Amino acid sequence: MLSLSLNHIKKNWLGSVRNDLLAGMVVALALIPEAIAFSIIAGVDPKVGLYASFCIAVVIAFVGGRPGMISAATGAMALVMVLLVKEHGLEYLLAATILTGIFQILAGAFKLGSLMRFVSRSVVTGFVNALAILIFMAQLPEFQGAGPLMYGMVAAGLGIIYILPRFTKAIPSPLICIIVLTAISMFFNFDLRTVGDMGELPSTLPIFLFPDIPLNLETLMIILPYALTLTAVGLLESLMTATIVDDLTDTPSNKNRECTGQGIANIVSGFFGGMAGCAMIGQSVINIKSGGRGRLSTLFAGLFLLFLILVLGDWVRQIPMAALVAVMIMVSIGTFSWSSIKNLKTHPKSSSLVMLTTVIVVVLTHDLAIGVFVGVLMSALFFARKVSQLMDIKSTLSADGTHRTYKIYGQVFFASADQFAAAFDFKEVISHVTIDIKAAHLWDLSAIDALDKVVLKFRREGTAVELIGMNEASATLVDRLAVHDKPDAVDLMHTH
Amino acid sequence: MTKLLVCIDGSAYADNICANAAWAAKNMDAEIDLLHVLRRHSDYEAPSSDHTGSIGLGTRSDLLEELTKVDEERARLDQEKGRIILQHGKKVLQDAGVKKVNLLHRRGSLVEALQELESSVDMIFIGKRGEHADTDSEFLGANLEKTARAIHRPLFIVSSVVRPVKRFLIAYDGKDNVRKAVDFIAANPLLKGLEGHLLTAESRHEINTDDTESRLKEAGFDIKITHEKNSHPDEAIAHYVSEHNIDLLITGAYSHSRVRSILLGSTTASLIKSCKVPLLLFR
Repeated sequence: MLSLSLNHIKKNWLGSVRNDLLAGMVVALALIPEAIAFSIIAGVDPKVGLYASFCIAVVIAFVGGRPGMISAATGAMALVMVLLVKEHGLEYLLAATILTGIFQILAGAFKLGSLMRFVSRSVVTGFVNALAILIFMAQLPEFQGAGPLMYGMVAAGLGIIYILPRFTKAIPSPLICIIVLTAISMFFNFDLRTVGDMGELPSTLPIFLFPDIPLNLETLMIILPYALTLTAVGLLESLMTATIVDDLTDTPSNKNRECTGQGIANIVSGFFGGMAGCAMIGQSVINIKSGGRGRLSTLFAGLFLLFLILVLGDWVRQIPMAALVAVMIMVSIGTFSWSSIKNLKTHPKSSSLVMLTTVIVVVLTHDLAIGVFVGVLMSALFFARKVSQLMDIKSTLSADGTHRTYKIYGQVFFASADQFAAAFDFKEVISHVTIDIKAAHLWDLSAIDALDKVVLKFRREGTAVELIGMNEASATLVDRLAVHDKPDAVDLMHTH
Repeated sequence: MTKLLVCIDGSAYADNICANAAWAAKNMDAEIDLLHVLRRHSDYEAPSSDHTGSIGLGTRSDLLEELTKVDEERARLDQEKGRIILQHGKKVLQDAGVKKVNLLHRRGSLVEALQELESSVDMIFIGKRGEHADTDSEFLGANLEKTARAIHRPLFIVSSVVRPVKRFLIAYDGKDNVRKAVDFIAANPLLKGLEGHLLTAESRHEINTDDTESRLKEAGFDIKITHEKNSHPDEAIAHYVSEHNIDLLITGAYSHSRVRSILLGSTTASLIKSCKVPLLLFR
């Protein structure tokens, strides 16, 4: 056992030390602008996002279920907490963060990670696209009232980010973008807003603090709805990202452990003055692209992030917002699934509709959880409709014209029950009817109800009904629910 | 029918393994499953030349495409190499007179593959070190350590020396594992007619070997039994092996303390390291 876990540690942590450290550094450099930008979205000081990113990345490296995935302060979570921060302030956000963590641990304990299988591919794509749009939209206020200088700087930043990799792949281009724009802005003394204007940056290591809130029911009622949404959004994005990393690396992950891990990370973050976070799609892709595979990459990303902030704090203050906006636009572009637009033409209409609806609902409500809920509901309805078509009824009349046999094939349930009932011809005057459901499945009350009605209706017409070929699944259901099979109905159904 | 599972890779031990297995297969009238295990693509270090940290249009799908391509090329080479190794092994076995050889080409870790296959075979052959292990190193191949711990079939550990087996030595500590070895020797045609030795090495009290002796005598073995007082059984055994020209060492996985037994059994591990002859290990 001991040596087995030693082996495990070796594989997860020391699989490729050099690659993991390099990738962790690249990720840390990209995390700084994101953590700051997401703090600004949430309406809190940049240090809240930076502390959160540090705590979450370091903790999840140990307790997460998907090695190589990057978790930190994220846009999806920041968007949920805007109103809470605006109305009640930071302390309530920290409390909500801790509560979110508790819920997520419970979700892991109750193995809710497996519920992800009900979230269809289309909903995932919709979620990702909506997230990208929201991140992009969150950058727009920075342009409000800004002059051509701001537009020029952002354009220059994007230019550096996307053109530099053509010349060298050894250095992170977003970092160069930030350095160059900061240097230009400082040199020419541009009148641009800087990170320092957006609030306080960290100057010390994070400190353990209990959120300063009254511990009563009223507080709980304030933070509960936010915590529930944060829980759902955090787990959704984390599990989706885990799936993306699974696909990219073709290695398995432990989804329920990831749920619990996200919870632990958020609790730690909340107690150390950080906001709630989750896995990041963009950063995880960057990590994989840079060669990061093991837990070490995540750990080092967090540690290096804190080191950079503490050492370079004065320089970080000088970064113009234009540079951050450029990086965030890159994140938004990289997060968006562009192939999904191309696929609109070729994918089934219902799938495209689910995807688009998810996007629209999220963009309208600014709530990723509602969007996913609507998307899942729609996929379920579409699925039910499709399966309801897997039912067919064929009938044959005996040679003497007194006995008709109905053969039912396929799935009978709420969506196909009406279709089922309508397939029988009650106007035909006939003395015997056989309903053969050997090849059918009766799934629910609606199906039983419809069958009951059909049997009773034939009886009222004076037709003797025989029911044959109940398969086992249907039989148990009929046993429990149907009227015509119960003892008190025996007399009624005597003609069987 | 008796079946031997023979694990080979591209290491220098492969031919020795086949030679030993062929000898055993002929004595036991067994067929041979020849196994080669490929590494999973995720066991390789990830390609890492891109530290741009930027993501743009279609980065995700491009990245998936690129990573798949890297893995695909490497896996194809590995497959080809594996096929050559297996074909070569088969030829060596057939030349040595083994009638039936089945080829098994699996992917994953060796230990996993063995755990899946061990229930269908009677003995497993493995080399002291794999092709990726350093031959000069004092340490055992990582695969051997793991295998010896996980597998419960008799494990034939092949060394770099290969010579006809004429004399075998049972390193006897009286515990369950080595009793299994004695049962096997008594019941199995593998070692019939060979010169047998049995050695106990214990510092405090002498180990009783009477019933084992009679058991083996019944089976037709004339066993030369030696009791040594020595607190370092591994040294005593290694010395005996070289002094009496022993060709095959047989023992149970044993050790002095529970904690140390987690790591395979300290004595066994050091025996595998210090003895230059093949070792048949029972658990």
